[in-house]
Amino acid sequence: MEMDATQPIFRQLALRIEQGIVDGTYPEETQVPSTTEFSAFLRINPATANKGINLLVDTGILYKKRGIGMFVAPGARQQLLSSRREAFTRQYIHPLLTEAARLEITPEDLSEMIRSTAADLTTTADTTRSAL
Amino acid sequence: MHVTPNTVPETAPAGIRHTARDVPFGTTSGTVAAASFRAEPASSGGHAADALSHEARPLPAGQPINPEAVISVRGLRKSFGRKEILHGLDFDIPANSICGLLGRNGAGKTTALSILSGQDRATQGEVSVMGREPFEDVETASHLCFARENQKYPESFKAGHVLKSAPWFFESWDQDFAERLVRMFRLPVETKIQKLSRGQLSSVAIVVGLASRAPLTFFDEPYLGLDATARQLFYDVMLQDYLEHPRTIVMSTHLIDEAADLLEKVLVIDDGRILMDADADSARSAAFSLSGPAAAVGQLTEGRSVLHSRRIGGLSSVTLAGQPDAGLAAAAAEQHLEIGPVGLQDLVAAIGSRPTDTVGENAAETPKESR
Repeated sequence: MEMDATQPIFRQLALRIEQGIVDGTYPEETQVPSTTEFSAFLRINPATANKGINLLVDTGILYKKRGIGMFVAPGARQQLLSSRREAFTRQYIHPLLTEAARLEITPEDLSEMIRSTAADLTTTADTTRSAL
Repeated sequence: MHVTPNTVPETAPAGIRHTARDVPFGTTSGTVAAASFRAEPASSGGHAADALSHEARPLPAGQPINPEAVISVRGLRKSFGRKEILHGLDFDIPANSICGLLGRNGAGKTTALSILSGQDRATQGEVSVMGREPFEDVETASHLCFARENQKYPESFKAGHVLKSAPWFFESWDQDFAERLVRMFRLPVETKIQKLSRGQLSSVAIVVGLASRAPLTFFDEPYLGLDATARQLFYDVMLQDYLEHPRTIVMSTHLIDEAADLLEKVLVIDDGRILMDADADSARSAAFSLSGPAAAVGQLTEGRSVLHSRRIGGLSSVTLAGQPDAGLAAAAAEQHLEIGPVGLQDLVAAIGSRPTDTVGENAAETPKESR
């Protein structure tokens, strides 16, 4: 499994598990893979894998059932969604507005572009669905 | 492996190692002559390691032996005749970790491992391995496996003989595991050791190193002569077996990118000195690169610790110690300079790319107390 070099690996593992919780791979109150399993599968040192998992225990996303393993905490998905929504403005809207300003696109033009692109995507999706 | 004064080729490999992410400014074609890349020595005075963050710096000299560590080395010097190879090493290796001993050929990796395994004696300094002085110590030797491709065996030995005699030396030897490894690495057990290829000799070392399950296992460049598939097989099976049977593994390597993610601790050795001593996560964030028009790069890097820099035409790319602060990031964004990550391989190349003469001069200029 390829890890990118910009971030510590334990943080990348934590992000990967968070993504799994958000997209439903790891539903709440179900068990996530162990340190050993993540280590062998991702080809990373187990101390690193452990650090990533502990990061999520510290933030209350995972909890430990003694003798069994790590589980997704109730409410974890909602917690991740709200923190990611907060980050959304900084991560996506700010660079979007910066680039738009460079290209002399006004915020009004931009919201119109977003609306029509969204409409196009919906139409495409509908067409695809009816074609199937 | 010393270069004569005024020759540059020692620095060239690091300077021209350009992957896509190393050359972010549009030199997409391969037509740029390698010779036009000019590797420059670090512009900061003193040792390159001095520029690294606190977490990545080598241990200071003069500390007592650490009884918690499985290996603890203080002020280790080794000379062969008049020539000093190790110039005073200080480091600890924690028990049950996988530690990478990284450095270029001739840096002193094998010499250090020979001393740690008790096969050679330190000229000066303290060496503690599992709480004992290792040189020719039977007790230490019974818990230790030094796996290397150029291991000497009796003349008539076949690989099969090696595997049959191994249980005499290693308490925890696992014969079933050894036989599985022989099949995995397709090792011909009926062929005389002398007739084996280099890759097959490496495979013998790997089988012995892993199946010995020694509490302390050294792999000295275990990949010599192995193809990429066999190397990946080795990394996978080593990690899997380490997960099931935790023990201390020290692996010397210069194929750093391949092994980096498996490591918990990293020691970088160059010209007989430890240049970096860090946990693998700190090592990964110990440096970053800044690239773009040379003038702008030069302006932004003024007063900072430059580990390595190279230029092509009006463009420049520098490796800086630490992580970019907010001010630098903002200035770089404004001037369209690119900030990028520096992998462990590139970092080791950056801090170890200077000709040995330069290192020597700097060492002579810098008073001992200040390092």
